[in-house]
Amino acid sequence: MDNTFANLVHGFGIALQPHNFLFSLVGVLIGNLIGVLPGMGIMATISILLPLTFGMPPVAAILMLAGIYYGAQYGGAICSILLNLPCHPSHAVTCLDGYPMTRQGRGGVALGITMLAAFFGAAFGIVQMILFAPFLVQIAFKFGPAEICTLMLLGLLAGATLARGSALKGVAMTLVGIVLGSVGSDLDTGTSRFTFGSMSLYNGIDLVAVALGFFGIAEFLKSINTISVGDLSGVKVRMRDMRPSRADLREAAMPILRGTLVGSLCSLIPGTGPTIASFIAYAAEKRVSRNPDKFGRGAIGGVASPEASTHSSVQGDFVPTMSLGIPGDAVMALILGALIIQGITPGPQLMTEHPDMFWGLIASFWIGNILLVLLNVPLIGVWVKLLRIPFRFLYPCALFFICVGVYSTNNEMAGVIQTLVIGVVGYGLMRLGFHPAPVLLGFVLGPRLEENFRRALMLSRGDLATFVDSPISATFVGLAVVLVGAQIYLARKARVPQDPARAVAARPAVVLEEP
Amino acid sequence: MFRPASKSAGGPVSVPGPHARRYAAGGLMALFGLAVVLEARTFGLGSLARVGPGLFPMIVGGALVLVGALIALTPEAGSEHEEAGRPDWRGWACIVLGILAFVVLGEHLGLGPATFACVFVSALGDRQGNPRAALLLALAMTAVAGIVFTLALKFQMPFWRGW
Repeated sequence: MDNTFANLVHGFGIALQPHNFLFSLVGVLIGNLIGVLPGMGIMATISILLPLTFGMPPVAAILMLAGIYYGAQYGGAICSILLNLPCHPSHAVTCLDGYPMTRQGRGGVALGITMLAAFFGAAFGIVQMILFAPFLVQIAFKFGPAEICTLMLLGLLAGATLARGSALKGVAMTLVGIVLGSVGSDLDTGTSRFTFGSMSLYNGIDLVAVALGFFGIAEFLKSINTISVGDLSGVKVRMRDMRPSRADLREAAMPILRGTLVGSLCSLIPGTGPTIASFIAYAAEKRVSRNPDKFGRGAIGGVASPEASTHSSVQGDFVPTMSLGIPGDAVMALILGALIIQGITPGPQLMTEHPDMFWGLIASFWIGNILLVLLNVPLIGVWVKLLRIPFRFLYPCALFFICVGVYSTNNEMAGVIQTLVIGVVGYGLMRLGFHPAPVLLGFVLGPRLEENFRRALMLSRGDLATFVDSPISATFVGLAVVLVGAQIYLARKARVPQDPARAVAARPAVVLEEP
Repeated sequence: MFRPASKSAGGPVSVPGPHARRYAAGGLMALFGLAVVLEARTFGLGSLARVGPGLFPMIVGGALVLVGALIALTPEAGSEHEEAGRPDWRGWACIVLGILAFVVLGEHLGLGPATFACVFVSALGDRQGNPRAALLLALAMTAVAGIVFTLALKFQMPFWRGW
């Protein structure tokens, strides 16, 4: 325990170094900004900025990229509550009660409660990381290649089947991602795989090209001419409007606590990131509430609980990523990819080999969240003004940044063409009902899965039983089987013909896309 | 990003037959998987004790064939009919052409013209915008590209390569 405290102090020392602090600030600022702007995605932003971080020290780079992720969660709530636009899927449910509050002239209070819930949820998520990550690391240190291999398999399977959309299609997209990740020269033998004689493919497909293809270009192909400017007439929010009354606070306290717990649980299961956490938190809150009729008409609990869960889940998301090297969703896969590009091997050794990175990141979470509250409460008027920027000005600029970002990774146009092809094909797949998030998980984890698969077999001299021999890897395989079994059971149950009207009603009020 | 629920509640918009989409989706994946398997065979499979570069991609490709077949054979759950809004050829064409313009002009004329063309062409894809607004936006972004990328960040591509 003393040790943890000393590490944390050390982390603050790292995070408060001027340039680390500066890059955290830049990260949360950019995050907050794109959170507010309708139609701009977290994934696209992080990938555009990724090439810029190649020349930076690793700690500053990760602090900034992480800051974009949690910063965007603060901005996203503003968009949902004031405009009724689910700019970011993890804040879509907040619209349901946040917007009615705005129409009742209580938008400011909703935002104030949101900030409170956000900070509480985030703080809980960070504490969870401080206490839980070292514990996970200790277990993970006992893992050999067979255990890592089966754990990754379980993580990929969970990421593919628990996220939104059809489980089968999620698995298919994961496999596509693994294939994309295996393009280029084989690490062991140097054999070129799937390069078709192209030199630019020999070094593999760039993470930036995959991420910007699927989450930049494909996303804009999808949202062009579908995003209208929100109606902000009559919405006025000043700082003093944000102060909740004592009664509001009493009403929000328990929902915040419940939401936080839901979020922290969801963050530990791969594939169930902040979006699913917020939906579960809202549904749970409605069920335990004494007056569920109020939900959908401006219930404070309907804002506080999902917001708290989103933020605790966003911070908790970093636990499996930083301690095991297994990302739970696409954003974490991207951040893991950034670590790999920086030459840092993700996994349990990260905490001991790069304590600066690990504890600096945790300290920067505290600093970043405090900065975000300071940025959002007094400056709320500025963010509200930014909501008026129409999408038709944003996407051409974003496309330009995508081109420049991809070009600068290798200083060649081949990358831009790759990204365009990936984007167009990716959008075609989206129209066929595939979701892009699992691709990135497969792409980032695929090469490490293969490496550990080959190493495990080499150690066991070709005996496949190595994957179920140790109790740890047998447990992972068992969990994977249970997961697949549960999916088959649920799919069979869902096939029972049901009233179509009910199927529509059961869906959320808005159709949205994974981050 | 999002659409009002009322639009999607009407069911699939542009799906020709009830099964066409899953056949297309599953078939595509199975074909892709088959291609991966065939290509991976040429890399050398090795043995289980000494796995070659081809074995892992081959397993993945085989799994893809299986999953593709399952996608084609299982009826979609009702909740899956959501994507695929009406085709927006103008928007799509402008985005793709804008990026192609960046590639071609960046290669031959430099960052400035590439930026201008990319932003201008892609901005024309919006049905609410007009050419004048697109022109102003493109000029503004070109200025940003010159100041931020060429002057401040010393971007590799020259702003103007000359004729």
